Amino acid sequence: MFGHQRKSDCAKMRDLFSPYLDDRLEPVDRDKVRYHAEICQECQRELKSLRLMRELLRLMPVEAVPRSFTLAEAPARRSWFRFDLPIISLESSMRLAGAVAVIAFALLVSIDFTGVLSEQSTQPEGIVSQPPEATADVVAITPTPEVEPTPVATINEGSGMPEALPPDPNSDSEFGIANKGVPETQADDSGSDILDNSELADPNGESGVSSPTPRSTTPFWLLPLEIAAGIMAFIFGSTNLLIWQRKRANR
Amino acid sequence: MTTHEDELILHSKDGNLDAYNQLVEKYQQQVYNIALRMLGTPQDAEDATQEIFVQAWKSLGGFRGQNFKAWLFRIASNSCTDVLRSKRGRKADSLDAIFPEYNPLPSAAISPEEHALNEEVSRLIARQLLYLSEEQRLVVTLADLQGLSYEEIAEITNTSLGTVKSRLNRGRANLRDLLLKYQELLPPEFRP
Repeated sequence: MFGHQRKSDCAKMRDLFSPYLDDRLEPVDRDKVRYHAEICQECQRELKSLRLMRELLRLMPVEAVPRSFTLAEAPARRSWFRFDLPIISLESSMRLAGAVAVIAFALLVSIDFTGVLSEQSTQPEGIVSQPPEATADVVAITPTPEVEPTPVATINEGSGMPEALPPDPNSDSEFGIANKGVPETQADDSGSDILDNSELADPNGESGVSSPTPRSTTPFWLLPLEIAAGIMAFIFGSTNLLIWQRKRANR
Repeated sequence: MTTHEDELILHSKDGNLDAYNQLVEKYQQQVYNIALRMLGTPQDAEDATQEIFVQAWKSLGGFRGQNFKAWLFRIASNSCTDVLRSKRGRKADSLDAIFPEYNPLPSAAISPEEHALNEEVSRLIARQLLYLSEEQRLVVTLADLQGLSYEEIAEITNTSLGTVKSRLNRGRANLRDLLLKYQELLPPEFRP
């Protein structure tokens, strides 16, 4: 038991020998090492041999340089704004490109179907923009170039603020997903006319209402991107398939 | 306060090769000696030293620290590690094959007599150093052959002070154990 304890103490002390020789110990630790070396013959020998080793190393001659290492001309400097791309094979690049194209295509299609971006592009519920040419009794005119269901809004007479109504169940179903999630609005019947789709669509309407055009709910860039990603996925996918078939044939 | 070395570093960063060459002249002996102790042969050390100064010139734009010497020695140690790694890939029969006998030039600080006295021992130590692990060899070289402080070594090796102390302790002890086989070659005052 005592032997084990002593060995552990010796091991701890020996860890301090080099800092002790280099005078890098706190006074407390330095005294501990000194005291331990006095009572432990083995550690005393160890400390002495390490001191000799250190002195021998410090006597090693400094070698003179065989020649001057000055640079005759300045090598091209490394740009710190550039980063080196990992070098990958053509085959791996094709695989990567194919995977990226497929993922991009799937992502864009899912965005289109879920209408995430459509919801973000519309105005907050209950607030309807009014074009400059609209008259006082006109509400809910948001011109858009595409033919899609007409949003209708109400104006709360008391507050003067338009408020949203639930979607019109009679609205055209042919607009499908693109219209999903977009609240329809209508004019409040209490103080003004209710503007239905036929009225709003009539450019010569007697009500003096400007012709509202249907609101677009899908970003215009989504479809071209979907098509491009689909084409890329097809090209890279078929190329990868050809490479795989050729490799298989060569085996 | 800007020292002369700081000015040289600034000019070097701006692309002044003359200023950089002054830095090279200042540190080339230390860098060469580190490479020599790490790699073992003068030829490898010479090649590595040139490469280290080229690397340092290229990387100088990224130098933001205060201690140029530590930064340069870090490049040196990394470069030596790379050389050793590439050497490990090749087949080496023994240390004798990679470390042939050579006659180092006498250092200006040591008289020819002293040099002759220490030459055999220093060659023996240099050979045995190569049996240490790279980490221990580097720390022993920097501490005992270059006389750097623990803090500088920690900065160069990117390790903690505790790691430096531990590696130095083990490195010295291992080297001593290796030299015990050659007691007859050691001066009497150094025999345990």
